[in-house]
Amino acid sequence: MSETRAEDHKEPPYLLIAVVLLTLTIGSFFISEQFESRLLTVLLVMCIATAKTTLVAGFFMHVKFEGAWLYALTIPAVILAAVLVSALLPDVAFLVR
Amino acid sequence: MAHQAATHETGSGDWRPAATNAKFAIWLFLATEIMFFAALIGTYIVLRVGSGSSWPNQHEVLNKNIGGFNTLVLIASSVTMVFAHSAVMKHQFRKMAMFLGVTTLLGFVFMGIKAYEYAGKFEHHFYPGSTHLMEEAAAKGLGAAKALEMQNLFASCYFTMTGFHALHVLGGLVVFLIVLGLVAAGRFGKREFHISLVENIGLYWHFVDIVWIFLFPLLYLL
Repeated sequence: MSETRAEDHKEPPYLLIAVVLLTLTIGSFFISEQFESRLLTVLLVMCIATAKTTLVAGFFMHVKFEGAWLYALTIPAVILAAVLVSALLPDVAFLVR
Repeated sequence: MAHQAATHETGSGDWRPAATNAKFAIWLFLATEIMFFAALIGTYIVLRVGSGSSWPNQHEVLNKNIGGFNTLVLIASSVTMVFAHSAVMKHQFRKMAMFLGVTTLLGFVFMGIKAYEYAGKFEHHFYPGSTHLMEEAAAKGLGAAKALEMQNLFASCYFTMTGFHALHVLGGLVVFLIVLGLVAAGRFGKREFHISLVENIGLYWHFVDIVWIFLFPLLYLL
């Protein structure tokens, strides 16, 4: 088993990541007003939010450099969170107005 | 393995932990936090989609410029936090204190803006249970009961999600102040516990930032 620790890695370019995060935030701000299609707007804005989360978690929280133990810990929680939201969706699908 | 969360083999053949117990614990805590906020966000999505066109126009209720600015403030605080962590790993405690101080300041700016937003909402009678919303809806010729139901639903979602997030920010700020107090008292040093503390509150703070990264578009943009 060849696990690594976050501090064993070279420091990521934090300032560059910060600039990307700020750009994505401003981008999502403008994208929300650009498209007529609501579905497209929702998809794009949520994709940007996911990209920002990946950057913060990956580089600022050092998830990218951590060992498998972290994934074993967090992925079940993420799956359960997704299942929770999905399990609520039939409430919308079968809603009678 | 008795008191270590996870271990791994180094090149020299000995074993050392892949993570300290404290780091393992904070990640366990964050895993539960993922579930907590997923429940809030999931419920919001279901209520929002289920309400259809009767959901209030969020752009009329919330100021997305303020929300956007607060997002930038929180991201900036995440950046200064990561620099504080980087400094403490190099045992540069003064630099760490400076970055942590800026992070704390930005956290208070976020809370101040949030307080300003909340004050505006109460001033305009936008809160759960406000009968003023029903009267306003009736004046516009809308189905008053339905409008009340939906406005209140949105108000409840807004205050619950942003309120719990703000409580998390507040919690982080309290720990920041404790660390800054230790530094000011000259009691912060090279102890593994102190270094680990800064790393772990950093992880917590970044998580709080991630939650806001999703709350901002959901509440203010979409």
